[in-house]
Order: sequence, then structure tokens, then C-alpha cells
Amino acid sequence: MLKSALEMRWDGDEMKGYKNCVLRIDLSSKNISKEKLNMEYVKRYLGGEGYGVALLWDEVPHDTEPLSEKNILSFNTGPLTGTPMASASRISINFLSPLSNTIGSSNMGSHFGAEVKFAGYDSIIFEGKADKPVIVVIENDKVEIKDAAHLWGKNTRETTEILNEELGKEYKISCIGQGGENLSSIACIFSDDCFAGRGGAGAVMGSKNLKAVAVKGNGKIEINDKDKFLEINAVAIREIRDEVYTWGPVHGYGTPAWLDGANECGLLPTRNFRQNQFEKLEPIMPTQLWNNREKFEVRRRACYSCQLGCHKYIVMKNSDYGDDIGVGELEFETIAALGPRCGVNSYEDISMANYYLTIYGLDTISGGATISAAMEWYEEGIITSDDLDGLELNFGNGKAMVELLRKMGLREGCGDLFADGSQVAAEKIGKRALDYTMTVKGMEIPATDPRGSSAMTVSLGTSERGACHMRPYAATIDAFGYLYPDLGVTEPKDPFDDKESKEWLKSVKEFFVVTNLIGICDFNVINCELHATTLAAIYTALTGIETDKEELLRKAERTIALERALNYERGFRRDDDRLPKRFMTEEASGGPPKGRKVDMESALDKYYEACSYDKEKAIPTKEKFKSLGMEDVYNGLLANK
Amino acid sequence: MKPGVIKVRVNPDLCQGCRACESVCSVFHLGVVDPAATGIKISEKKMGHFKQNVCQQCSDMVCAEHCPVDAISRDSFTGAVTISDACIGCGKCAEDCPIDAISMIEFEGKPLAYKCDLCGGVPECVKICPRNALGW
Repeated sequence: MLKSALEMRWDGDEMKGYKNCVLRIDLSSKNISKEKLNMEYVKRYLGGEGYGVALLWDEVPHDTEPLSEKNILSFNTGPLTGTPMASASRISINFLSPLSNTIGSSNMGSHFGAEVKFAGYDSIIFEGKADKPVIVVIENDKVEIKDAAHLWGKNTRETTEILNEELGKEYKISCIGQGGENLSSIACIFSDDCFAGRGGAGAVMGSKNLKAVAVKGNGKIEINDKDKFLEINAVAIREIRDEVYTWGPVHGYGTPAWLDGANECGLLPTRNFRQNQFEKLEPIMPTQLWNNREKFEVRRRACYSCQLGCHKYIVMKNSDYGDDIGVGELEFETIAALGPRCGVNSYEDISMANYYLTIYGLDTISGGATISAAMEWYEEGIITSDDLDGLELNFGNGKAMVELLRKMGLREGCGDLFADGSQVAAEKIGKRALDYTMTVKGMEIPATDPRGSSAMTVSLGTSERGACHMRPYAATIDAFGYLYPDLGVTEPKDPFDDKESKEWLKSVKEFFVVTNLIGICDFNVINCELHATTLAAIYTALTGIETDKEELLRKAERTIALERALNYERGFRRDDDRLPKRFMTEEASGGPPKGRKVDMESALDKYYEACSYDKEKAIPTKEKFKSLGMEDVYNGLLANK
Repeated sequence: MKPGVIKVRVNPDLCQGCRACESVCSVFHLGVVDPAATGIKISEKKMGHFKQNVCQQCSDMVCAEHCPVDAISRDSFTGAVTISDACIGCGKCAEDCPIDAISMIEFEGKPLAYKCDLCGGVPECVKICPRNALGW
């Protein structure tokens, strides 16, 4: 029997799909407790990222210093996580970000999220700070805080290996490397070569002295209507497999398949955004990796229940750096950040740089972007090799890039200066360094040049967690020419017109956020594959709560509104949604956008209009909050002013 | 149907280890996702190399030999070795299986033996496998 949200008794026990249990661990007092899901959060924000942000809003003082013990770190699964739905592996990690100082929201795949559900939890909340390094071991009901003195100082791979040996191979592990331990603002959380990469989740984990979380579970996830669920799941899978590009190059090569498309459209940041097209792309196309079997062994290692399987594990068999190095995964963003962005076109250097970022647990996008900024500072004479322990950091010097990243991971020598990202480094260096820092809200811009896509201008600028490649990746629609009829995008959009209405971008962004709430991967929607209608239907079949496309999008809209409200409290306004000056003053160097500059103000105005935001405060208007049923949030804002 | 001929066939090189097959197995048979109830089991031998463990529907049916309630028989339509409702969950078959393809689960409060029955026709794991690593 289906029930509408209003009819549902909302004590949560009727609701399938969710586990209706939240694990709360206070690392200061070592107190471990379990509680039911907050149904108000589920009604408003669905789960996942929304649940985590609601926790931050309600439980953390809004002016909290991200690395203080008042910050909380929550791991939030979505209702679909752990089911056979395509890519139902995601777990969203929420915190206040030490990198951007905004809300931190980072999510990862691997098999960790599903295991958390099997162990019986929707969310795990870490509060306070342990007095010495600890790990948390969860086996169904049994939760223990254990000493981690022997793991502190070990890298991510070593930590995982030791724990799997001590506890058993069935345990799924999330941990930090030296980057997180040293509170590097670009540190990420590592789980089986997947990362909750952006925003410094690893530093928050490190600041709590939490080295790792190990989970094992054998509980069940209930399904309201199994026949319907399997039927719609088959539809969802067909939608994904029917998309030619997704099921061709992306399924085959993984995300690096985007490289040549992005380059052709003039979207590929080159030499710290001096250019927007890379002239030497051929050597770093993924085909080179696959065709070079003497040097690279590539194996697929998909996340839980993933159809696409973009995740690969790469072993570099022989190189100047050594033999048989498990360099891990090379993503589009990784290759773009360590390759074209730094002017490097050797897979050996990129692989090795990725290896250090992986084992020390740093974000590859921010890591690569910091190096590219440093390269520009070096070329502009703002820093010299004396500041770099003798490294000659010209664009294209892959060996120097690898060495500097190694030092960053360990905060060794000059690496200390760069370990907190390019913005912090620029502030320390002073002079003109900030002019070359390609960040929004302190977070490095990922591998898309906004001059080639008006939608990405808005996406990168207005992302609530700092410049983000997934809120949404809308270049697919305006630059590549995809349509998304299910979300109302029925005709092509002009990538070069910042004055065009951004109404369509609002729904696309909301749908990307829905994936974070519900527990599936963005790559199901990035090429306009999965329909929102299908996702709503599968949510209903799973949970028994009647819903539709509009309601799903509204839940995302509420989540975004809450994130904006929290950012507003922390001092973020319209000015923080602007891109760096370079995009407004320097013309694109090549490709279709050649000669183009960004009209930031028009783009922002159009987007704010579409979302009913106050144009100066950059938060929804009072009426908008009211129509979303979030008056309390709006009133909360005023009360604090 | 010829015994042992029709079974879930695997191509280990193609497997990407996503475990969608494991997941859909329990949903189809029990209506829940149960990580213990997996007619097919994926394990990682070394980074990126996976092993698939699934019933071979053998002709001699070792598992049926010591079943105290005669719950195990061959389905005449699919050729699969199936466990009937008579199962009392003693675990003898799981012990006897030479390749560990029978798992002991708890369902609705009772212990049960659980194995691949080819879904009565077209196996769900074969349908969902994104790599065509499974066939039948």
C-alpha cells in the first residue's frame, strides 16, 4: 500500500529502504548512542547530503571554526544506498569545510556506504575530539572506539592493509593519510581508492584524531514493493545503457573519456587557465594507457552495484620512478589537473603524482590546481626556486610537480606552504600571488573553463561548497549540446550567452543534488541518462512513500536553500559567488569560445532570478523560504543578526 | 534439461566487482537486500581481480545426499538444483558443497539454506551484470 507523505505515520518504522537508525559517536566522552532518524529532516531533505546539512544547521554553532571540536563529521547514506539500483553506493560526508569555510559536502562511492547500511545505520555522526588517535570499529550493533597509535603516520594504503589484516577482509574501511593527520585543508577521506575528495573532509577527520572507520554488517534492507522495484530498476538500467556516450567511451575508459571532448569545446584548463585548450593532449588520452600494456596494467574495480564502472585501478609496471607502483585511479579531473593544467603531458608523471596524492590522502583536483598556481607564480617571478627547495617549477616540469606534491603530502620543507591549497599559499606569499589563484570561496576550480560554458560559469560560481565540478556539470547541456527533456531542457542552450535565462540550470542542479540525497552517483545523470521520473518511481517502490519528480527536486531545492542559509550565516554573499578576475578580463585563447570573456554579473543575475534569490544576500527571499516550508530557517537567520 | 549444462557461467576477466549480482539475488528471491543471501558471491583475489562463486548445478548433487528432509531436488524445467520450503536449516548441504555455493541465512526468523536456483528461468544476476561477465 502506497501512502502519501502526509498519511505516513512518520515514526519511520513503516518506511522501507531507510534503516531508521543513526549512530552518534562522541569522540570526546567516548559515548556511543543510537537514535531514530529525524523524520522532519527526511520529510524536508530526504536523506544523504540533506540530512548531513540539517544536522550542521541544528547542532553546530554557525560561526564554528571548521577544525575545532565543535564541528561534526557525519557520514550519511541515502535510502537507495546498498540496493541493486545502478550505482547505489554513495555516502555523503558533511562538515564545515576548512578549505572553503562554507558547508562541506563531499561524497564517495566504493563499497563503504552499502556496508554502513548493512550494519544497520543511515548515518554515522562523529562529534568532539578524541584525546589520542583512535579508530572506530563497527560490526552491526557492536561499536568500539579503539586505540590507533600504531596506525598514526601510516599512509592510506598501509592503514587499509593493516586493518584488513587485523579485523578481517570483510571490513570496509574509510581512513585518512598523512595529509589528514597534518590537517592539510585539501585532505580527503580515502576508502578503497575512492575519495571524499573536496573541501578537506580528511582534515576534519584528522582534527578529531579519528584515523579510520571500519564497518562490517550483515543486516537487511527492506523493500516495499520488490516487483515494482525490479521492474523500474530495469528501466533505469536501460536508460543508462541506451546513452551512447555513457555506455561507449565512459563505460570503457571511465571518466578520462571526457578529455578530448572537453578539449575540442575549449573547456580544458591549460597552464592555470592561461589557455583553454591543450595542444599536446594525444599522449595523455586514455587509449594510451590501455594500449601501453608493457607499462600500465589497468583493472576495473567498480563501486557497489555500479553499471558504469568508471573506477579503475592502475599499476605502473616500469618507469623512472620504480617498478609495479599501484598508482590507483586516474580520473578525468585528476588527469586534467595534473596534466594540461600544469602543462604536463606524460602519463608517468601524472600517475606518480596521483600515487602520492592517493597515499597521503589529498584531493587530486585541489592538489593539481595548487601546483599549477605555483607554476604560474614561479613563471611570473613571484616565487623563486629558493622558495621551492631548489625546484624549478616551470609549466610542464612533471618531475618537479611530483616532488612538490610529495612534500605537500608530508608538509615537508616547502610543501608546508602549499599543503592548505592555493588560496592560503597565495595569502602567505602576498604580492600579486592572489591574481593567479583560480579559486571560488577558497576552493580550486576543477577542470572546466567557464569561458567555454555559460552554465559552468554559474555552476562553479554559485556552488555552495566552493568551485565544484558536480553542482551541476552542466557543460554537457550547453557546450556539448545534450538535451534533458525530463527536466524541461528540450532545446539546445547557448554556451556563450550569459544573459540567457538560467531557469533550466536550476532543475538540472537540483537533480544533481537529488543524487546526493538519495545515494546514487552523479554519473547516472551527467549525460542526461537517468530520468527524474524513473528515480522518483524507484524511490516510491523502495520506501512506500509516494513521491514524484517535482517533490524530489523540491527536496533538493530545500537542501540548497539550507546550505545557502548556513553559508550566509558564515558571511558569504554575492561577492563570493564571483569567479576569479581572469575570466572577466582575459579572453579565451582557442576553440569555439575563442575571444570570449565571462559576463559574471549577468550570469549571476539570471541564476538568482531563476532561483528567487535575493540578489545581494544570495539566499532565497522570504517568500521563497515560505513556499519551501522553511520559514523557521529564515527566521533563524534574522534572529542571529 | 541436462544437469550441469545450464548454470550461471562466469568470465572472471570481465568482472568489475560491483556486486550488483549479489544485491539483486536476494531482492528477487526474498524481497530484501540481504548481504548474506547471495546465490552468487564475488570476492577480490588481488586488486582488480575477482572470483565469482556460484552453484555449478552438478549432476551428482552432493548437497542432496545427506539432506534429512529431502528438500533438495532438480527442477525439471530449468535444470537447477533447488531447495524446497521443506528446508529445516540444518546446514548439512552447505557443509557438503564442494565449492561453498550454499549459504546459511536467516529469513523471517528461521534458518534456511540458500543457493542459486537460476531464478526459475532467466537469472537476474545475468540480466543486471553490466559487463556480460555472467551468462547462462
